[in-house]
Amino acid sequence: MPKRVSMVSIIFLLLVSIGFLLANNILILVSIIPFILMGFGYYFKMPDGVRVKKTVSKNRVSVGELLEVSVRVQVESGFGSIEICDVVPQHFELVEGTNYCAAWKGFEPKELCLNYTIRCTASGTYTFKTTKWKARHSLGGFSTNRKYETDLTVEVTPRLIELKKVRGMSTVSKVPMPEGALASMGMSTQEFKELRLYCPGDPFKSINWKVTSRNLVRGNVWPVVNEFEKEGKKSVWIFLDTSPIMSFGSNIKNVREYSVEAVNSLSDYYVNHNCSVSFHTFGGSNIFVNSGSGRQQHYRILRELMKIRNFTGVSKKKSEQLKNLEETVYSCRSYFSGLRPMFVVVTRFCTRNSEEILKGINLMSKYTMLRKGHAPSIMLINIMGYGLMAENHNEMMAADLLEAMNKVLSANIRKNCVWIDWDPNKESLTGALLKQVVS
Amino acid sequence: MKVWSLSARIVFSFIAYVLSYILLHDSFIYRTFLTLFKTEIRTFIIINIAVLVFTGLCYKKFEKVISVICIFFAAPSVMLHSKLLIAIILSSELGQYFTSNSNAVLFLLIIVFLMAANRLERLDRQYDEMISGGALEADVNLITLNNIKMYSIFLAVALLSGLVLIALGSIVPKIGKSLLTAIAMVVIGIGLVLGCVLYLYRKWIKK
Repeated sequence: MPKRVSMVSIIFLLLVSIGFLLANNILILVSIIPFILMGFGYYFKMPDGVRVKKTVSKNRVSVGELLEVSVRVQVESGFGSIEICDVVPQHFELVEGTNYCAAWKGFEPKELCLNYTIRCTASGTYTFKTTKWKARHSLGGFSTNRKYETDLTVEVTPRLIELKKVRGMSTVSKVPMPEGALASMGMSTQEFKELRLYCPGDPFKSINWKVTSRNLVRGNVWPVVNEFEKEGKKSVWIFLDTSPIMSFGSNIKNVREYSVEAVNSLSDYYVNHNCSVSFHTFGGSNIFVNSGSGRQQHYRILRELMKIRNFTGVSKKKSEQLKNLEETVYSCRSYFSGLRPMFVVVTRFCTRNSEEILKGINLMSKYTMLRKGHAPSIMLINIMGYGLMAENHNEMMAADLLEAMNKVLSANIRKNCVWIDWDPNKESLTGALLKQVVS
Repeated sequence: MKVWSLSARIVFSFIAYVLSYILLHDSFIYRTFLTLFKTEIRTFIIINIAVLVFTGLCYKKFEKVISVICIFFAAPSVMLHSKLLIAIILSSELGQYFTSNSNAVLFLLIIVFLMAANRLERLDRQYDEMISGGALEADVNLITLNNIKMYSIFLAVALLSGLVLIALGSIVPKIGKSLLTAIAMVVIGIGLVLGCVLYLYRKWIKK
C-alpha cells in the first residue's frame, strides 16, 4: 500500500511543482485529483479485522470418503470488496459447494460462510491450515493478500478393499491365502482347513475316504486328504515398490495410491487370517515393519503406508544406496530361517524394472518351497497403470498395447509366481484375484 | 454488465478524445499542421486516421492509447497558459483561443472521463478474475456496482472541487490587489495543501 500512496503523492507533488515552476494554473488545479484520491483512500480503509473459524466433519476418513468443510469468516472493519479462498490440499477433489467467494463489505460488519464438500483421493495426513483473503480498496487500484493459519489436520487412511478367500472347483485355493507359507515347526491342530489332493508323505489317516470315493465316480483316482490348520502362524512378507516408476497417473488416480490400497487390504486380510505379516518397501524409501500379528500389526503397517504418499520417489540418499527388490529380500534373509514365508510383491511392471523383478523373484524362490500341486508362494500384484492416463479411445488402445507388450516381457517371471494383473480402472482387487483363480 | 461497461468505456474515451481535439484545435501545433496539410478537412482526416491506426494497433487497451493521445493533444493548449514558458521560451504571437478558465474546465473534464474509462476497464478485469475464480455472478455484480458508485462519488468530488477552484481563481484577482495579500494567499495555500498531503501520507505509512 505505501508504494501506491507514494506514487499518488509523487504525481501530486510533480503536478504542483511543475505548475508553480511554469506558473501554470491548470496544472496546479489538476493536482487536486491525486490529492482527493489520497484523502478518499485514507478515510475509506480496506476490509480488515478478519476472523476465521474453520471446522471439518471428521478428522479421520478413508480414501474416497466425503469430507464436509465449513469456514465462517467475520470481517469487522473496513470498506470494499473482499475475496476469500480456503486452500484445499492437493489430493482433494471438490465435490459440492465452493471454497472461494467474493463479497462486498459495507460499513457494517459482515459474516461470510463457505461450506463445501471434498473427496479424499490419496492417503496421508493433510493440514487444512490456510485460509487466504484478498481485500481490495474501493477506490485505489491496490489490494492486500493475507492469510489465516490453523493446525487443523485430517488423517486419510487407505481404502480397505474387502478380500475374500476364493475356493475354486478343485478345492485348491491359489490366492490369496499363503498355501505354501507353512509354519514348519507347528503341529496339526483339530481345526479343519480344507480338502486337497494327496501328496507323497501325507499320513494315510488323513485321507478323506468319502470324498475320494465320490471323486472315483467322477474318474479322479487320486485320493483327497483333509488339511488341518497348523500350530504357529503363517508368515507373509509384503514388499511394496516405492520407486519413481510408481508415480504414474494423475493426482486423483495414480499407481502409488492403488498400491498403498492393495497393501493395506492384503495386510488386513492376512492379519485377520491369523498370519504373521511383515512389510518392506524397496526402490525408494526404506520402510520396514517387522513381522507381527493382530490388529496392532495392521495399524503399524497402516501408519507406515500413510507416510508413503509424501515420498515423491526422489530420495535424498544417493541412488547407489537405494535397494532394489533383490537386495531388499537378501537383506531380510535372516528373518526367513525356519519359515517358508509367502511373498507378496506389489509393483508396476515395465521394461525398466523387469530384470530387477526377475532377480528378486528368483531369490525369493530360494526361501520358499514349491510343492507339487500347490501354487508358488510368491504373489506379484502388477498394477497396470497405463490405463490411468488414457483419456480417449485411441489412448486406451495404446495403453492396452503397452500392457500386452509387458505381458510378453513378463512371461518368464509369470512361471515362477502367481501373477496378478490389476487394472484399477476396470476391476477391483478382489476381481483381479478371482480372475486369477478361475483362469 | 460487461456489455454496457464496454459501451460506457468507449463513450467516455470518445468524449475525452473530442474534448482534447478541441484543445488541440486551439493550439499553435494545429496551425503548423494546417500549414503542412494545406486544408482544414485534410488535416482533420489525417490526424484522425493516425489516431485510428494507433488505437487499432492496441485495440485491447484502447483506453490507455486514447489517454496518451488525449494528453498529447491537450498538452500544447495547457502549456500555453504557463506564464513563465510564454515569457521566456515562446513568443506571445502563438495566440490563444480559449481563456484560462475554459481551458482548465476542458482539461479537468478530459481527465475525469479518461479516469472513468480506465476505472471501468480495471473493474471489467476484476469481474473476469472473480467469475473465473468461482464467485457468484450476483455477488460480483454487486461488488462492481458498489465500486462504480464509490468511484463516481470520488470523481464528482474531484470535479466539483476543480470547478470551485476555477471559480475562485476567476473571482480572487478581482477582489483587491496588493503584493502582501497575494504572497500571504500563496503561502497559506501551499502550506495548507502540503500539510494535508504530508499528514495523509504519514498516517497511511503508519497503518
